[in-house]
Amino acid sequence: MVAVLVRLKLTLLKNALLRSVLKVVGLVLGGLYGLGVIAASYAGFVALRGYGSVELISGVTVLAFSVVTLGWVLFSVLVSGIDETLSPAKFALLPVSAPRLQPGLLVAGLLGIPGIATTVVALGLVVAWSGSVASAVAALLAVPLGVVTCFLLSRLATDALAEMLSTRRFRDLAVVALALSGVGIAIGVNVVAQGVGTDPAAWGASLEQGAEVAGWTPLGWAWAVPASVAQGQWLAAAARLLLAVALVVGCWLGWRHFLQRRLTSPLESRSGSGKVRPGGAVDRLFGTSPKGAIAARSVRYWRRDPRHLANLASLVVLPAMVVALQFVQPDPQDVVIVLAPLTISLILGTVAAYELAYDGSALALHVHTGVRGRDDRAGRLLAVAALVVPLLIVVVLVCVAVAGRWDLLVASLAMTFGTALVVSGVASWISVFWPGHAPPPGGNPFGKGSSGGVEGLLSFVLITGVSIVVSAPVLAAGIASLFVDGLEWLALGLGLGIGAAVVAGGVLLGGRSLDRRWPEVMRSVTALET
Amino acid sequence: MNDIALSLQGLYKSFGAKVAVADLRLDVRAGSMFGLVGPNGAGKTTTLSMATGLLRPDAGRAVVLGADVWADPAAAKALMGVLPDGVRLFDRLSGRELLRYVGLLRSVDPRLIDTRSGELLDALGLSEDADNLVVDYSAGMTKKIGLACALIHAPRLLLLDEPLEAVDPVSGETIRAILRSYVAGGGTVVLSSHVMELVENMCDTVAVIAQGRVLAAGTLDEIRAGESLQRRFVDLVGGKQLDEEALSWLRSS
Repeated sequence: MVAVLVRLKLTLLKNALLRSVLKVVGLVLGGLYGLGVIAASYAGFVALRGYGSVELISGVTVLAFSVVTLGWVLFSVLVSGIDETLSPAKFALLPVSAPRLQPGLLVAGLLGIPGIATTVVALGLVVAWSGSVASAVAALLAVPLGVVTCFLLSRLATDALAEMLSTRRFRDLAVVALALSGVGIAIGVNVVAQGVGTDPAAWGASLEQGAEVAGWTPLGWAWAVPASVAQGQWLAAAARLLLAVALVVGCWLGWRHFLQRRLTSPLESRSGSGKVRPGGAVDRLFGTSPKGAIAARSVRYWRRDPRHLANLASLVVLPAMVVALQFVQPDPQDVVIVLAPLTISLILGTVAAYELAYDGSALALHVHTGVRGRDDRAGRLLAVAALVVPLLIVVVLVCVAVAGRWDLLVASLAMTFGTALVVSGVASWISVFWPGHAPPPGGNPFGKGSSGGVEGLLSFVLITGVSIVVSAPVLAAGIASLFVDGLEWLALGLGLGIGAAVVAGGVLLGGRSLDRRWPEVMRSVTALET
Repeated sequence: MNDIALSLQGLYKSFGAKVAVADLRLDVRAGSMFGLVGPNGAGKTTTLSMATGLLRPDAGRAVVLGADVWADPAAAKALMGVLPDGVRLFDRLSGRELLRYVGLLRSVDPRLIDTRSGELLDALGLSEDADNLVVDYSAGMTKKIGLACALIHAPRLLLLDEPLEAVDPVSGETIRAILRSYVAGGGTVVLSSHVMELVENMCDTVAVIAQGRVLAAGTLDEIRAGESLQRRFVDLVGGKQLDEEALSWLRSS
């Protein structure tokens, strides 16, 4: 079974690469990056082996690999998504059980750039600990445990979250939890940085302290085993080894539980939701023009589609992180807090740009009905505006109030709204050319491509870059107003003026391009379907 | 004024090295019930996609009642109602919301939408589920709500891809009745199917396509030439006789 699944995964990968040049480029870049990481870490390991004390090696390796493990979990949840090429739902019709699939899925899952790179780097631990036979053997034991833990933890986290997101009751809760965990990590990192301070002498001690703490968390159990052995703490080594094995077994069983569930009830079919109330305020708000209908439909989707909710949550995470970070500083910067809402504006581009991709093949309706591209663009922006304008106002007011700098209210409003308008306008236009693709609605919101794939990244970079250039005058005037009174009103005028012009231009240009490019857009957004 | 409701003129489409539709020519007379039949992978859906503006042809034209789909899409699309196959609906809307959405996109008067969607939901037996999300509908119900979406703006030409697939016999009969009265009222229907019985029962004109080409086109009687349509179809497409010994391991006794 293992060989079958691995061969399947490789065949799928090969076919995917043959079909898309972008994928090849992505793989090559990822591979080069992975090679770079491997080379750098081996240089580090050799240096540690040569010159480092046992304490230093312990501190560095335990902390670094704990962070790597955490990175696996966070990265798969927040950024890359789980590779769905071997999604369990696809095996639902075959007479296979979860226990039989598991080993193969594990090996196939590690067969990717992150898995291979992590394994190779982790094997470097043996080099670092080759000072004594005992510690080298311990390292050799710890590496597979640690690597498997990385994979299983990330699998378990995404499976559990996907499960929660697919039922309405937990959906909102999960979104909030996700947002809070982001904030929590930011604060944690900062507290640690605070504790260390800038005194280099304190580094060594806190490194050891940190490693000691991390070594007793699930993230570090496996990685700390060779360190304990090298330091002669046999009891601790045994305890950590036991805990690490227990963790792997626990995760393995947990993963099996979710796998079994997905084999018998694919996520998609359980996304049901019962009756909705007919009519309603949304229809009245947006009117009966095609533009209004599209806006009303978008707003409904924001509420009913988990992918949109996850997107909305990501909007709030960034400013919350910025503000939280300031609060753990010894001297919080008022100005940074006041400008935190600006981060929402900057990432607003993703929200506006992924709308087409989220529709998937349902977009065919817009093509068949001959909707004017301009109505499509404007309708979606109206929906975004209906949700984001109140959000921005609230966030700006909260930030200004928290900082106690009401004198900066106008400047903050000007920069936030000016940039938000510019980004929306630019996104309306650029997203027509690189709409990207998304997992189908009801699919795993953490599935691969949930952040649009390479194309999505490209359009995000373009949108952000162009927007920053275009809104430079607003930002300049806003920042200048911190020093020169009265300029904030100029910033507000510039922001609304430039913003309105860019939105109008984005809707018109984007609409015109869309009218010409419907078939190409359709092909791009349906890339993950069929 | 226009005798020809749908005219496909030399449509050509290839995906990479694979030619899906090659120089496809077809004229559909206004007021006819036109059946497009062909084996799996014959290019039926590709052809309909090119006729409805979903897929850009490599060459050739598609003309709806005088309006070129690719030169004047707005005019052509306003005349067409489309039921695509293998395409999602906006399924996070309820059936009623979806109908209203389609109606508004097509700029139908909102009051008309309300009465029409009520009647359509009723006729297709969807009234009870009108306020359920379409994602929770069965395959057959999804087909039916899709058909309602294609009808809401009272189009002159209906393009239906596999309209009766997964639909139960009772609803199937209703749909046939709706389509017949639509044609009797001067509308034109083009439907694709690989169910010969449906086509034989419903259509007055038939085209057989395979490998992206029209093998035969004409009235139903011309095409079947005294035999059953099923028989003629297999002859035209080139049926394969199953060898006596083939798959013998499937027999359980």
